[in-house]
Amino acid sequence: MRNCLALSLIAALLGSGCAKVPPDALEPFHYGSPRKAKLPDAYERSAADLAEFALAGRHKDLAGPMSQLIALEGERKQRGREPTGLLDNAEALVAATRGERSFLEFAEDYRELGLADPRLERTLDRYLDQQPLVRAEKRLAEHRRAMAAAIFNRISRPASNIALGYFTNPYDTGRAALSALLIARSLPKLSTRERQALHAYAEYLSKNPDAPETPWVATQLEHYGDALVRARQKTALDRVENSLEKGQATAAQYHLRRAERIAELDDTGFYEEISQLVAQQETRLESALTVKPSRLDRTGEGTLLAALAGQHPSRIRSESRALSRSQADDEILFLQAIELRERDAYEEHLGLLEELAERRDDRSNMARHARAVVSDPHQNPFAFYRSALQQEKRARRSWLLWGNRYKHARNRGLWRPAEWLVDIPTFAVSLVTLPQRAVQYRATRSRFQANVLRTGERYVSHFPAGVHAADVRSDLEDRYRRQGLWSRALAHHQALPEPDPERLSKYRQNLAEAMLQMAPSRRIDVRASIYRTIVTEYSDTPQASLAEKAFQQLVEDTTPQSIRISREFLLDNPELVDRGALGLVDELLDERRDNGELAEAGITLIGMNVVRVHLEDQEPVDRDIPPQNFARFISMLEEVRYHHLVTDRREVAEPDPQRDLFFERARLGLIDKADSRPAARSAFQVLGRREKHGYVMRREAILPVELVVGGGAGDFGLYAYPRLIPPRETPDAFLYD
Amino acid sequence: MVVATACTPKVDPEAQYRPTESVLEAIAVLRLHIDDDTYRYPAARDFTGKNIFLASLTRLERLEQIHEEKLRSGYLLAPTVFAKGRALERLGEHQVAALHYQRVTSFRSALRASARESQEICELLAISRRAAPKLDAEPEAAIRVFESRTETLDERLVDSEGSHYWFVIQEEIERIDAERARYFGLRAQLEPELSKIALSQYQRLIKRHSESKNHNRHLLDLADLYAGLARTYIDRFPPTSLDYDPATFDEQVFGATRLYETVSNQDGSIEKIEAARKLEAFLAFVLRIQNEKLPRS
Repeated sequence: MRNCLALSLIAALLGSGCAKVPPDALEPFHYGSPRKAKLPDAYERSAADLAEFALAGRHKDLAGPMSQLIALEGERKQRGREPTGLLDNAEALVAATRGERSFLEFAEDYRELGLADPRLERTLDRYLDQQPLVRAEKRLAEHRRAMAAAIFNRISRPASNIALGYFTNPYDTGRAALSALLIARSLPKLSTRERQALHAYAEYLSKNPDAPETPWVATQLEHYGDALVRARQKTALDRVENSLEKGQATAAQYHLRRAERIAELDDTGFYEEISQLVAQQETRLESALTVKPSRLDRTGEGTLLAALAGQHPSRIRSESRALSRSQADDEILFLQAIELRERDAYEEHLGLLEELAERRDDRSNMARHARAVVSDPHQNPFAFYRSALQQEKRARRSWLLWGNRYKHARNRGLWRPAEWLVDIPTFAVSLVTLPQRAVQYRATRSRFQANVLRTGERYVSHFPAGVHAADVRSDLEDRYRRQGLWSRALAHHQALPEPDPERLSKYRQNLAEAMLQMAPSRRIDVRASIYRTIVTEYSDTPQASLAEKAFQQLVEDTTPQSIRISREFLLDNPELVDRGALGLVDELLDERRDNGELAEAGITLIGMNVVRVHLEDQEPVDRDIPPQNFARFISMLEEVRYHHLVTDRREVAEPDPQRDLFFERARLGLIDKADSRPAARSAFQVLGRREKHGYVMRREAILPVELVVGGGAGDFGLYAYPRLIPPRETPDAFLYD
Repeated sequence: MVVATACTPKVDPEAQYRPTESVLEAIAVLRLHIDDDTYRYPAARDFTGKNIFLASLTRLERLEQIHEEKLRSGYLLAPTVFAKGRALERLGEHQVAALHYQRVTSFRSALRASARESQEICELLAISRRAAPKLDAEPEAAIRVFESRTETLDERLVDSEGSHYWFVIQEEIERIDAERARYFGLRAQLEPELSKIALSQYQRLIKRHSESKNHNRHLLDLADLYAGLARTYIDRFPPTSLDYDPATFDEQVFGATRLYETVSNQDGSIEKIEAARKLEAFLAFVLRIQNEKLPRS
């Protein structure tokens, strides 16, 4: 399929060059050589000398070209001419040659005086912001702000109400205060930001062992390092506790060993708890493995075992009946259960085992065996399905009464009655909103049915022809139908003894429709595969013909690349359309439609060196650009994007490896063959600044505070309260959790 | 120095000087990082988040293409080609870097002597990559091949003390040591008798390059090797079989979990995420084995 698609794409690509030429044979390009440039003058030659000495590490020789540059720049100024813009970069180069310290001082001075041009400024800003100590201090400041915001935002509303003289519910105020305390209590021992600071301190110390700040940084490192060790050990011990609660001795042992490896343990209580749990498990194991003397008479036992080994149902039945129930009541029941299973009478088999399992005689081996069978979801799936149905019913009813608090009060790690106390108002609200939930009741079924679906599927998978199979399948079908999961509904309906052909057809149509709807959001190869599936496997549905058309359209429209550069971007950066680069004719950008006009969509790089030009009121035109021009155009495009990234703080780097590879190959002239693999395709869009960011410049708030204004019947009118804006997490925060 | 520009207003430079300014800017950014210790610390990143050496190389190439007409006079040729060589050698492209330096030696430039020295080192580094032991070589013979590759570099390393080449050569030695461990690790998958050698080679790598920025990666590789051995052991001796030896299994499990744990505690490293998830997955595997071995209570 993939090969087929690739061939189709190439065919479409090659064919498109001549198929869409408009009737008036518009030629959108007028290529040429790049414009002539002036020969380097004295400034530039001095700058080149400086670059050579800097790269050669000839520190003493740097002074010559540098003073020459300064002198020339001075003369230029005296003559009233604009500065060349070379001096700040030259100074940056000299500072870079003298080492990290020197460059740091240079960057700080430049930032303080605001001297650098925007491009150098951003580079210096990043350099300074990336310094470990700056990073550490910044993260710690953010940590303090985040802590303050978390607590302040809880109490600011009731406090504001009191301050403004409004009536305020004492319970609400108390609850807000308690909530603030809870927040403070639940904050991690060492926050992500503190961990980031710790890492930055460690980096500083490792890179600057002899710096004057080293002793202070070492103290900080020790402080936060200890806190991290404590936090990690606590996490491990929490897991020990959790495992012990679940009765998982092995997991508890593992986590305890982990806690020991982190640091020496103060609390040794866990050792005892784990030993007790292990002892209990060993006792149970020993009891399970103990062989008890048989109460069967020797003759009967032998014959019965022979029958069991030979799996002869009729003989098992006769031999087990031959034994007196008083002799070995539980063994006989178990054997009878086995005999029932041999006859495929699973329901009776499980019924008998359930009866046996209910006997609470710890000395009975067979009761234990029976309990193992009936409590195994794979051996007794119907019981689990039944139980899941009951649980679902209970959960739905509780939800109807209590809303989202239907399970329990929220766990905040507090004394349980306190948890309930904090949640009382939530329950009151739940009661008030009960009618609303009553309306939603029917629609919420899917929310609670996961376990029913799982256990039902398990039952029909183990017993496809079981006594309850048809009922379970009907129930599952109904549930899947409500959820719109047509493939599952179809599968269960098909498996019914007498499926309804009309319903099957309806399900198939729905399924094909759902696939058709889903296709456009998928990658082109997946999309093509979906269309093909609909055409081949759902040919009886009306969607098959739609899928066929969509597939044909896909093959016609799909190009190996789809990198779009908008008209606005091209207009903002005229050097890109210059004849030495893209060479777009002026008529296409002169706002006159009579001689052809470039559409808002601009141009699209569709693979190799082919460019699709989107025109107003006309079909797009595809043209090959001469390789040299195309390579220069790509270089310019990247340079312009780089310039935007450096100078405009709203711009962010948008990673796209497919785009980068295509651009790199284009620059090197290695795109004589289209890479038609869907995974190599980029759909990147290069947009103008207004298209991207809008016409209004967004301003960042200077103060980390915002005013929240709202109101309602419950608040007796309007309310307003300040809210601290918590700092944003850095993109690498996930590496410190 | 700053005072020199203090009196000049901030304006967009004249278009005439833009090519020189751009090249100067790219070289300045690169120059700042030429002496960086890329053996111990990851390469710096530019403000777009790209590796600074790759970003500088790409930018210089772009500028050469865009300002072809201006740069044709050759006034910036030597620094541009030399700077590209510096970027390439940090990207591990020693052969191409050597070619760039060779080109600079043909210019009348202050960079000629430096280029000659750099060319020699880059060629040495490129040659050290060429030899590789056969896949069925005797372990001792394979080790000799790897050692012959590192010996030359070890000698050169001493001479490079104090220059940025110390980091470049050390990185290459580490690369060869990692290749050596990986060679035995891969062979051990088909020849279980090589498992011990593979383990010892990874341990050697970790010990020899404990300062490296790739230390976590090496730890993770060794943990993977232990985990792989544990899985292979279970494939050969299922927990329900009589040949299953819990002590052997536990030893491999302990090796893997301890290493995964160590890496998963390394804040700020991308391997932390990988190690944490692998640890969870491996513990799930271990619990499954223990459940199979022991009856459920």
